[in-house]
Amino acid sequence: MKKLRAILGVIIVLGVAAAAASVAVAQPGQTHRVAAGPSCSNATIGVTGPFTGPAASAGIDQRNWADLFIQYWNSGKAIPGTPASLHRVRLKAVHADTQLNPQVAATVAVQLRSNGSVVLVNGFSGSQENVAGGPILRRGGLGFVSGSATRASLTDPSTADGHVLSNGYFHRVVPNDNAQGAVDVTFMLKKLGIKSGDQVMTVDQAEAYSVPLISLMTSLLQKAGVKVDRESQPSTQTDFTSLAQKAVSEHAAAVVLAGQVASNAQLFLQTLKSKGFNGKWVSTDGTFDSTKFTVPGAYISSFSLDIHTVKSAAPIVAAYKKKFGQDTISFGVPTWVAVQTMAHAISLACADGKITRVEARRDLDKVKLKTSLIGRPIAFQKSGDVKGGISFTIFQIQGDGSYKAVQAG
Amino acid sequence: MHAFALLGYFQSYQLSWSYLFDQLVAGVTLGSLYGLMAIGYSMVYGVLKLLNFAHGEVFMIGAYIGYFVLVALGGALSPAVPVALLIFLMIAAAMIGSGVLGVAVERFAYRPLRKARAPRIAPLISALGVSFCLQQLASIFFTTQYKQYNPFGLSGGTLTTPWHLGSFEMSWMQVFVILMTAFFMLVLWQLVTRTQIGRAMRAVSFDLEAASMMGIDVDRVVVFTFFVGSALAGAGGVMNGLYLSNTWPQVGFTVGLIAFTAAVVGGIGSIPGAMVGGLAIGLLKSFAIGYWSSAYQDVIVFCILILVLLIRPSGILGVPAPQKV
Repeated sequence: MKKLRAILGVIIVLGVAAAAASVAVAQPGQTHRVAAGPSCSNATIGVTGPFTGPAASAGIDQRNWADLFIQYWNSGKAIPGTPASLHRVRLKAVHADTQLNPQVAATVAVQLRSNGSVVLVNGFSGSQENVAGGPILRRGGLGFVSGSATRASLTDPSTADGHVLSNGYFHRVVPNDNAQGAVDVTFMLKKLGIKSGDQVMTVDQAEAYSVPLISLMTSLLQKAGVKVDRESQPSTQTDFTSLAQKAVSEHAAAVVLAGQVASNAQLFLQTLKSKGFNGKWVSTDGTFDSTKFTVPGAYISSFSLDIHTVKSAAPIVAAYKKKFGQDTISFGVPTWVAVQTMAHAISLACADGKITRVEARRDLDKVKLKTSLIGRPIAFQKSGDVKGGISFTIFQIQGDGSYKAVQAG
Repeated sequence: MHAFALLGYFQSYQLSWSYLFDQLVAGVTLGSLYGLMAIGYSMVYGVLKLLNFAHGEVFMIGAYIGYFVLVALGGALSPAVPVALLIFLMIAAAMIGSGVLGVAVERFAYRPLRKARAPRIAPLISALGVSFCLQQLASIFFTTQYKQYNPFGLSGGTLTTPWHLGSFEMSWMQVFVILMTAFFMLVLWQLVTRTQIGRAMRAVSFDLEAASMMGIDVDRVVVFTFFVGSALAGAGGVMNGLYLSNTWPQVGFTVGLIAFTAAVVGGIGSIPGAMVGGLAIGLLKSFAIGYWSSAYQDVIVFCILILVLLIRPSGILGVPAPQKV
């Protein structure tokens, strides 16, 4: 009997292990170690993002845009901002899922650093992931370009984050949260009719992304004479009943949420509405997800524009839909541009037929796109931000749950 | 004078009866969910003196079972069966599924250690191991994306729309959660105090070895305890999803820590104590948010709970353990 139990136990353990392994194998784009060094015949880039987890829909959109760019690049198709005369070094992507989790991002960074064929990395998506994984990539000599990390300190060398990440390693093609806070507050004051003396509730989700952003917005609103009730609730605590009651009772003209879990924005606003809230709702780019946050009337800021409104991008958007069988939520558009800067840097570095991580990273700073899919030129400052800056776009959720840009960035 | 100064701190709306009532209802509803889960911790501890840290994951699996039943029956917006039947089926499936899972966890992770007379730390680590295993398996098989019950879409939103009684308001969902918890408490109390298996549970809880020598089938009692505690966690998981919409692989771990605290504060091993602890935490959280700031909710809640434990180390309704010399 004991033997039978032992055999059964072994079978169960092996079964679970096999199932887990099969799932892992079935997930596309897992990182894997490649012994070969960097190559100019088939250059490898790391493409990271939260492909699973609460921000998966945003991460998958980013991965799709990266893959679509690589397909366009490798097949020689016309790409906005890429001259026809540029020699294109064939690209290959190694995908790595970070789950929007700094610990996972650090593990992924170690994998990419160890993968000798990787010359540049696209990512990380979340600011907190860059803080965790960025120094590891840096130690491996890898430059990295994010299409969504917006924390202001990442490119500010006077801060701890910036001190570690800047100096030519971290780059981004999106604006920072200082810009987001200012754009959102200006929009509230000028377009939503929030005025001096009004009551506004601001809520962060007690993590590194939302706390400084809400602090900034609170300060800007207070400077405009708005009375602010500053609140904070961890993203894992999803009971918004008491907060909603408070907002309604204090007659808040608007509620502002900064967070990275779109379904929390959905639940909070639904709870507010069930309590009779009829003020305005503004939430930040972390809640931008048209599959999870669909309450009509809500305003959401995003570093990405609505790509559907860009006429010249229509064929590329159509190609996206055809390739992936679904429409884009626009979140990943800057990732296309991020990968494009990497592709240009690799081509520059390969001018002599050889490439190293150091060359590729240094050549990122030489990239100059006269235009791009987001409709503006791209070149990096020394800090890693885009020269001239980029602004945020404000979207409003429509009756059918779709997002419509109401203020261009 | 000081009282008036204190009153000056609050906004006028915070001093109204209706606002107090709203926060009270929100706190009791949240506390009911914590209490329902805390009962499972308390029951298992009462019988085996084991901190079953996998209990949170049993709650999580219950929430997922409820979600999958909801989806299989058409979802919140277009359910294929009447809403009352839908909710009944969700809770029933979750209770059965979670109950069976709880029994399986006991059978494979705890019982062998109990039979081998392993040191008390061993089942604790085993419990943590099961907890992380279940979380990871849920992440792999259900993905880590938040699943939304969308209770605001159920029955055209009538369940979440508040109804008014004068200036007081309450939603049917809150009524449902509170009444269901009261119902489960009542049934459990009857079970423990009025049935043979309940008496056996109390006997095992009092002295496991003596109960065994008196002819009580301890394994059967333990299995029953795990089944009942886990089934309640499963029901709690579904009610949590119906009230708070979201479920994800870590939901049980998050709620579980608070429920475990509730069980300890209420007096671990005491079923009414678990419920009192849950309600206390729910109310403290709700009032902390409503009358001070959400940023300090856990600081306020846990400072008060520490104070309670300093005054009553065995918990609000706990019985001091006799010291054997």
